[in-house]
Amino acid sequence: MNLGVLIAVLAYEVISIVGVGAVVAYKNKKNGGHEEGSFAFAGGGLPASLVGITLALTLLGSAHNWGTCQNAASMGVIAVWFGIACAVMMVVITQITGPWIRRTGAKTVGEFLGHIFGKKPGIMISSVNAALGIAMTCLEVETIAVTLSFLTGWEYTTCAVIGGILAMLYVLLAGMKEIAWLNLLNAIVMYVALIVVFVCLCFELPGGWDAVQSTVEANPDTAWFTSIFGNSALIIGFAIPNALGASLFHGMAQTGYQPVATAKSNKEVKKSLWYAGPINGCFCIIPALIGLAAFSIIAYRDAGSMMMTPAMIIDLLPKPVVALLAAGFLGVDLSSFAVMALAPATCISHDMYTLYKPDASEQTKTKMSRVLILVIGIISILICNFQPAPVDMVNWIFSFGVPVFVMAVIGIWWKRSEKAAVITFIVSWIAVCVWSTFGLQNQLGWVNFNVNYISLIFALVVGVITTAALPGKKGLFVGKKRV
Amino acid sequence: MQMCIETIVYTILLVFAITAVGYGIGKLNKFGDSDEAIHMDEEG
Repeated sequence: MNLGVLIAVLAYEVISIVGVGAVVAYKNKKNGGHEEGSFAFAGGGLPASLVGITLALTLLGSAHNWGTCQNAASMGVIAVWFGIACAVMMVVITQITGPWIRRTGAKTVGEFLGHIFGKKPGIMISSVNAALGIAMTCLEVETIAVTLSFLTGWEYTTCAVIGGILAMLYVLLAGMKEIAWLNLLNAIVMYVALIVVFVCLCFELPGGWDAVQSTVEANPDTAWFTSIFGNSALIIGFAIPNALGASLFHGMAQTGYQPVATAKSNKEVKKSLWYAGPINGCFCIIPALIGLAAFSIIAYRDAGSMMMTPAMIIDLLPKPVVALLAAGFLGVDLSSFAVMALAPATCISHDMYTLYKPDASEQTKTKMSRVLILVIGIISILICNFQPAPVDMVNWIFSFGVPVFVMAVIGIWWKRSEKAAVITFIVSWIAVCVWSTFGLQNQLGWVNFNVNYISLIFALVVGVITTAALPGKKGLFVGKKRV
Repeated sequence: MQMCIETIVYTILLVFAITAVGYGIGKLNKFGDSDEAIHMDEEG
């Protein structure tokens, strides 16, 4: 066990939580307890640079770090396409949907979707988002377990239990505002750590990067691993659906809209793309390269696709560099867990519980949220062992957001029909489950026909037909002034 | 090292190309240029 590194990493997590908590408390006190200056809305006056950086870093998580390292073991540097796909997502958020939602004055995407769809579809979206949030927490527990396992050398299952407990404590110790800022801080540490790791590997890899390339290219089955354009089937089956799913999901989700809501004006939102696109889009370069480096060394392949990169890092790199990387990765995954666990807990306690108890007090709802976080944490620990690879899992989650995006665009520019929305959501989500969850895709052998394509086809066909056939109100922006 | 340089250069080029094209698309989205609030009481 690397006790020194483990202590350094845990010390960083504690110091960052306490430090950020103190700064947030000081700022709140200075503002007389008002929300100005908080991450949530920041007084609505942030410039393009801060909006872009916040957007880029808050949407960095497990799929960008360990997920991309793992993907590199099966597709080489093509794994960077996940980051490139996220640049497309930034275009959709900052150039299209973000400015639209801001013009309605909605503080949250839920409020905006409520204007379009009405009550019933709104509850459906909340319910599905709560379930997807739990799926995301499982993913974060998985990657927290990977980081702990590579620091301690303990069994993965043991690390999942400890990591899950650590994550639940993290949510209960740090408040929502602290978590948002912690996510930013940890993403910066993670970015710096990856650059340091890459530079160190230039000197520490046996034979250097040239040996990695020649080893991989020597095998005809993996020769294409060294080029990002090496396999056209993967561009269709991996890169394009990633861009589609990420753009349509986050384009109409609070995760994408939150930083946009803090901007000074729509012009600043549009300019923020020049920060958000490159910072998020280029992130996967180094995880893909180090994942491929680990794959090229036979000794680490036995550790399996998820653990081979951590095994190589701990073996080759100096301890301070390992500590820096682990601190960044663990921090980002812990804060992502917190955000993901809070979302379904709030959704259940505030949106669903109030359907039965409309008079429930804030205190009761907060207490319920805390209990739900514990329940979600326990569920995540129990099932995190049975999940697919993080990037596959993230794509499956994205596919549920595709019909919401399609119906939102129809509802904005054409017609709003509650019945059409309900039918489209149900049909598209059943199609996603049949295709991906219950394995029709594998039975047919259509490996490259990603679940996001299925979701988009069903949403478009059913959405257009039902909207045309059923009565509804005119589109939200129809007949409104363009500028 | 050639593989690393190619991956870094191609990825950066693609990301900036997407950003530039996306910014151009944003210029066409005139509805998103203004900060004037849409009045919800005009719904329906």
